[in-house]
Amino acid sequence: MPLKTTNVYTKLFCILFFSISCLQCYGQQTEINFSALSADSYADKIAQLKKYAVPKFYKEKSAQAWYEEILTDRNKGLLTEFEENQVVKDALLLDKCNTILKRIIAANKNYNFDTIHLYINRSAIANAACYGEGTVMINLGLFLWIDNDDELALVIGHELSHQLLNHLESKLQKSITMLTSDEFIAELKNIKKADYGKFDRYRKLMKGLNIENGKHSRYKESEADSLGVILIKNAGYNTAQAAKVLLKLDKVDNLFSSGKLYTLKDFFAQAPIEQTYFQKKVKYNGLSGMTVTMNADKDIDSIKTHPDCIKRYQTITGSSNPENVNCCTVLSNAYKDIKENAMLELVRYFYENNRLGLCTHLCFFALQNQYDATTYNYFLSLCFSKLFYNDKKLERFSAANAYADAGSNLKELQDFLFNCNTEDLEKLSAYFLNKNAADNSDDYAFAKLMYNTQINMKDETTFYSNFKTKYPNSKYNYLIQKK
Amino acid sequence: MKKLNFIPTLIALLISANVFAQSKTLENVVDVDLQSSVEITNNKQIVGYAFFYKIDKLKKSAMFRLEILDENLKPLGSNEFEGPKDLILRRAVYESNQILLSFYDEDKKDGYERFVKIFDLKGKETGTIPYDPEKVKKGMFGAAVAKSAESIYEGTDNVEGKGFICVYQSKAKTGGVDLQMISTTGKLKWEKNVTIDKGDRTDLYLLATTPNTILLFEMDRGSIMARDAEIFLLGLSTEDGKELFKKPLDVKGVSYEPMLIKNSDDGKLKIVSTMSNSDAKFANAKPIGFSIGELNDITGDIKVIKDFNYMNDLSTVLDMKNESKSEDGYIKAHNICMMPDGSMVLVGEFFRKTVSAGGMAMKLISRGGASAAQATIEDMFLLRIDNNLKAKSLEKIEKDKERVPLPTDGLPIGLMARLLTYTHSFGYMYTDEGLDGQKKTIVARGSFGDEKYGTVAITIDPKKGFTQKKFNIEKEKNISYYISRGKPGTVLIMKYNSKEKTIALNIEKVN
Repeated sequence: MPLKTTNVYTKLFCILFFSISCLQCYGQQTEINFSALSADSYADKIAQLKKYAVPKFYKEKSAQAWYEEILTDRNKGLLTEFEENQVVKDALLLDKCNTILKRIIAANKNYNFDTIHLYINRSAIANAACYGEGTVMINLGLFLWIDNDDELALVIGHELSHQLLNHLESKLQKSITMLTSDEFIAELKNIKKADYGKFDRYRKLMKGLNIENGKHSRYKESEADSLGVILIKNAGYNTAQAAKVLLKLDKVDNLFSSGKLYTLKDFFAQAPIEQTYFQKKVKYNGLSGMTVTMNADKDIDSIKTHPDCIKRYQTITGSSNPENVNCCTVLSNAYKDIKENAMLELVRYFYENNRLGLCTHLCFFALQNQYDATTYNYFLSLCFSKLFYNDKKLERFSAANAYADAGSNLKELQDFLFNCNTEDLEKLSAYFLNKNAADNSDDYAFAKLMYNTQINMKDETTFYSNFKTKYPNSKYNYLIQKK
Repeated sequence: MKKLNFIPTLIALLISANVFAQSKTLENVVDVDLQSSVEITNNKQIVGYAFFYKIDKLKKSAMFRLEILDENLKPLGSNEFEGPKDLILRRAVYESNQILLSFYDEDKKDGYERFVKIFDLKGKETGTIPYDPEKVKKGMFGAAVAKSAESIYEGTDNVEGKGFICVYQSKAKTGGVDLQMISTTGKLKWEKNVTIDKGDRTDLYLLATTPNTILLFEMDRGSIMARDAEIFLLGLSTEDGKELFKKPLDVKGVSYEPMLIKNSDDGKLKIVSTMSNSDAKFANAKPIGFSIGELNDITGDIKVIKDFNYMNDLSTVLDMKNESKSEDGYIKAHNICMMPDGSMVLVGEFFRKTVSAGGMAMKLISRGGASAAQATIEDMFLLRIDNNLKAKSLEKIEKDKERVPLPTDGLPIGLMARLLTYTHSFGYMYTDEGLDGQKKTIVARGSFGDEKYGTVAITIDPKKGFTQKKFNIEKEKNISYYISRGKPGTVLIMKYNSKEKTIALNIEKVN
């Protein structure tokens, strides 16, 4: 019996071990998950924006007309963002932001946060914005450089402060006061009537408005920083730690302008393509290799809306020597799950919008930072098959162009995507597809489907219908629908 | 270039809506018009683009904005300045961190004048060099001729490491050119007038520049109507404009008219010329072959590598009827591509003089007043010459015949070939040398192997054969296209949507 018992236990152990092993194997085969897009997931918000009516605020007709025009435009802009899927409902990112929001609300009972709603914008620019009437958006691009709750709390606190301090409304009112002033109207009329020098006078008039706005804005930004710090301090966040995000903001452009993000040729070293692309060519030097600064706008600084980030850091921390923050050429391991989600959503966004230069760039950057190779190899395969397809439509350049700066990795990649032979695009799509072992996931099936339809030009309808039959609930179906 | 006319207003519309207007109510307060857009070149390659807008009307002048874009259409910078009301940007050249912009002002009352402006890449204007318009008043015969010929005889080019050369068609009755050499610091280094030593009329055009020499082709004639000419290769020093040489190009009964001068991979300056019999009047002469030589840019000496006579040297690959005409028609040699392996490929087109049925009917109606003659432009060809300078093969690139009416029945073949070249009637547009000189691509217009008329890029395979990439863009409602030269290895495609009033610029690879 004991033996038998032992046998049973052994068998059970073996089964259990086998099951765990299988689970582990299955676990290694990462499945890509996308977040819901705004057109479907924010139907209520869309309905609310559609119903929006500008409130009566001014008695004076022309002032109310300006007010209506500006607010209608703002509302229209927001509606477009939601309807055209510029906003994503990423549960992880939103939960993180809303948890911080709740903590701030709980610690600051004397402020009214009723109208506040946080949203995730799909922009790659590391930024956040308060759109008025409680709408605050945090861009996906910002999440790549946030390393802790303190930093994210400062960003959220800052944008909340704009709303709490009614900055947008007061800015709007100040602009309307100026636009409806007798002097402004008289000058505008004179410009319209004038035969000569219209542009110069118009520009001077508008520059006055911009400079006023700029000064106003810089003051308001400092005000938002101050209240933001109070809000998060009350909620128990470490403000000194949080302020580091401001130092990073000065460097976030590195993602597009640095030449130290990755070594492009390494990604193609094993690929079955010509390696001559990466050898220096000296026969041609276009202006893209030069730094041209022909700028007629000498007063550009006067229009600057935000105060200098280092000064903001110094004001918040009281430290005169800001520490050297290493950003933004490498993704740190802190907040990795958040960063991974943001990166995936950015890559998906660029792919969806046919901005393949940027999409490919982020894939290589993700791979360089040891992000899930399976995911980004699929996307690289998708990028190259789509680029091939664009090439056939004579639209490769627009898809690959990222308006990259001289000396950046993005520029090197962009030039490669411009110059790569069509046959090599096909080879690269296959190369990155086959880097992952064939599996039953819709990720592999979709990449293969795009390879077949966009490169081999096989009958799209049959292929799409087969895919939909096999994967009726695939996350990629909306892309097929879109096509 | 006519198709470009719609683009200015559109870009202006886009700019005014996006950049200057602050809100709907403030729109239409000011107008911004695109006056002209040109390619910025360096060593005859496109390195960027310049857009030139009129932003403000002033009492006696106007304010202009200049936008500089790189070869990938990325905006690099802008500048503003005041200038004459009808100012147009004609050409833009880049050299040693300076951009030279050549402007043209056609004021109906005061004649026309030009000037160049030089900017450094930081936007600082380093110089304005006027070209004196008082040299001749508008209305004079010379000026009228000069105006009609200026597209042929005028030019602006960079001189590597030294600056820029501007060649203006002189308005003097005797013709000639006025040259201005401008340094990289934006200063006028020297200016010079080149006119005729003997006879009544001379015409010159810029062939090429080297760091040492400005190379011009000179034709001296007895009168402006004379068809015969003495031809020369003229070399002027880039340092001071002094004549370095003036070499006759009528040698041993053959006239050599330079087709192109360029540096080859072996570092030597190659000169390729069309050959004709010097007994025939120069303008009328039929081409009988082409010549390849090495040019010494200091002495002007040409060491002939080989004269390719169509009849004697190419008969193995080409069935010739006589010394100038093949079974496929007369030969127009457009360019010669120096391949990386030392071989060469001549790009040409066949053409004939034929009679038009419509023209014949018009001739009968007008009792002989109209011309029944037309030029029929036929297939293109690639003639391969191996390293031993032997004609190896001729590959025809089939395209539909194109017929071009001729102004008179009696037009000699030589003159007809020139007319077709100046009026851009041949299918050949230009040769793209690629980014690294490894692949040469011929860009041409026509119906190549199908019914659609469009632009086609023919890339020469180094060994044999060629590949074609067609830019026959599907017709869409409200959308028109214009295809022109892009940075090396590409064409620029402008897509205009008349309904949405938008313009999309796109660059596509030629191979």
